[in-house]
Amino acid sequence: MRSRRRSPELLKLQIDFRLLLQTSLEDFNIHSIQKVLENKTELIAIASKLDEFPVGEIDHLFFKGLSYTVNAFYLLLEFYNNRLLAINGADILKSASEMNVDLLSDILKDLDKDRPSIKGLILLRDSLINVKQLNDLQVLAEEFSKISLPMMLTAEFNPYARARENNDPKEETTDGDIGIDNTLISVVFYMDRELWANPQIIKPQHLYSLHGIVKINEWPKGYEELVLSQVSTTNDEWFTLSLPIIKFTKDKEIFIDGNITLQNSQSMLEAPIAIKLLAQFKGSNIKPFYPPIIGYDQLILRVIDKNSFVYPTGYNKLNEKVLEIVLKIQNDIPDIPKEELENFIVLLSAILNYQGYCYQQAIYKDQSNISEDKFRDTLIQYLSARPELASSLVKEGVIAGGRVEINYKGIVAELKVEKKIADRKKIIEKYQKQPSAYASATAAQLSILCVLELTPKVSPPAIAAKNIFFHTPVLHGFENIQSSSKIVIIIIDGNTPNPSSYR
Amino acid sequence: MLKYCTVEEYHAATSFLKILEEIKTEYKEFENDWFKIVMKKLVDSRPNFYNSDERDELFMGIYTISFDTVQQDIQLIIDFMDSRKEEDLYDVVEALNILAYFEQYKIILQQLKKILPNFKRVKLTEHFFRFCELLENIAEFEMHVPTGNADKNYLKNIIDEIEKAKS
Repeated sequence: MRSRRRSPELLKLQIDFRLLLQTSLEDFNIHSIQKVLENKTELIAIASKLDEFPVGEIDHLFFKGLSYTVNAFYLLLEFYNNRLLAINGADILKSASEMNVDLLSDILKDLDKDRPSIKGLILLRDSLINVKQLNDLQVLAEEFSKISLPMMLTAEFNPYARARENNDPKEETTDGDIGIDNTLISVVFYMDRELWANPQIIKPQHLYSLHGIVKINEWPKGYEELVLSQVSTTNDEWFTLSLPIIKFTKDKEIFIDGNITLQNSQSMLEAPIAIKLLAQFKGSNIKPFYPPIIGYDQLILRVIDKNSFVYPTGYNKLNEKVLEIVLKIQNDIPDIPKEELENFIVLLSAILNYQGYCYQQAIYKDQSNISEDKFRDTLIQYLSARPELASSLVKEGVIAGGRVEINYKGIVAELKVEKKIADRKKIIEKYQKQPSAYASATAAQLSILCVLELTPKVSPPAIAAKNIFFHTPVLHGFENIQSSSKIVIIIIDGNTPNPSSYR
Repeated sequence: MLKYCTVEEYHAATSFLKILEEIKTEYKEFENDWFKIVMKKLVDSRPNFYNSDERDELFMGIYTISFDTVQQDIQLIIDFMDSRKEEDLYDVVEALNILAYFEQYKIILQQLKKILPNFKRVKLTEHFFRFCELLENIAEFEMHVPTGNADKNYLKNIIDEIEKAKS
């Protein structure tokens, strides 16, 4: 496939040529040939640059023809000028002019004779042949000055031609722009053997190994190495990304190893950090070239450790669960108000702290008959010990015509005691609607349901983190649509027997 | 052959048009037919920046046909330009490039006058407008060359613009 693309260089050459030619011809006078000849060198130089410009075959012929015309015309002028000045050897200039006319004639055979410019050149060629005396030059210049030329704003090129060439960097070119348009880099990176997919959660001050496959469709001519660096949404001093420089190779697929370390942890509520790879081809005496990259070229990550939990649950597994829930919420409801999310985390962390405490201390061991009031009072008493909660906790507030067990700054936590159903799915189905109704009434999208499950236990309970469920409730009128309300269900196993009694 | 170049089945039409393109290089009498079919295809389609290969090839092909064919059916290019909407700047530029290549300076000036009011000059279209101004200068100059009254200032304007763009 061949194509054409805009060429400002070609345009500039044509305009320079046009202006200089027109200036010379307009001022032409047989009494001042010497003056016109002053432009000869420059005009021939531009004409020969046009002749050498990489354009399509027919366009090349046209510029070649133009170059022969200029040569023939100026050689003839010089011939007459030298004769005027009685300079020996002038005849050779006339012979040279005639030879250029012959070459022009040869080319004109292959050009489109219907074009006004070619018609003009044919007439000019005939006039060049017929110049017999000095006065004829005046007519010749006039004719030349009246030839309208085409303006080639685009040059033909073959975008795939270079793919067939052997890309040896020794064949260096000093022009960085030539032949780099088609170069494309594809990258696939693995971080600790996991695909560099989005988003990643990593620990601060931990060295993560990176393994990557870099594919280059075509190594651009003249470049010696490919440097992979990065741009990021954070301060570059907060992380170190170390990737080796790729030296010129004919391999289309290159395997590289590197590593990444991040210095500081982030708050859980902060936006993730994005690190995007930037590829740069470098070579001596050549300006750097930045090829486009496709593939997994952007790492979006959160740097989380225990310091990231502003409101920790006190239990590592439960902290991880909070993080998982927060990420899901941020993913499902990107426009969730930050304040609502923060209030939700405060209440969720506090209730999870109580859940962890109940499991650790077996608070409801062997208790099969706890009332909801008792459960609520104990929980509120426990929560009130947390300074960030105490003053804002509302007990049994009336919302939407019902009594809400706990309300913390608009975030509702509904408490239930279940004595008959152990199946988690059925518990969720039974109770999930009530907190969602309260949440909707307070215009909140997030709510919590905490169930104290007191059925008799014949098997040991699952760990606390496994008894936390993230659920999207079905809302009226939106039965077939994923709603933006979310509910977290926390189940506390009570009525547990002595561990030794499980048989 | 010509019938198959315009059938509804895309792949068949494309294949036959390619064959016709080859035939027309040997048999010039088919150039007009090829040109008409190509211009219709271009009018019926829009620039596609994700896959412009097919249209690029059609535009490219126009550069290979004779001056006489283009001159005879110049109205096809005019109609093509007139059919372009505001977001089809790329097509307008392609058409102007072709007109300049075929020395159609009078048409260029006429078309610029007609179509430019349809485009808003905003930051995104600034390049397009500057290109049109450049072409206007070229057309004004070249059109007057045969009369002996070409004003070199048009060319000087272009050089100034090029220098400005460089700095």
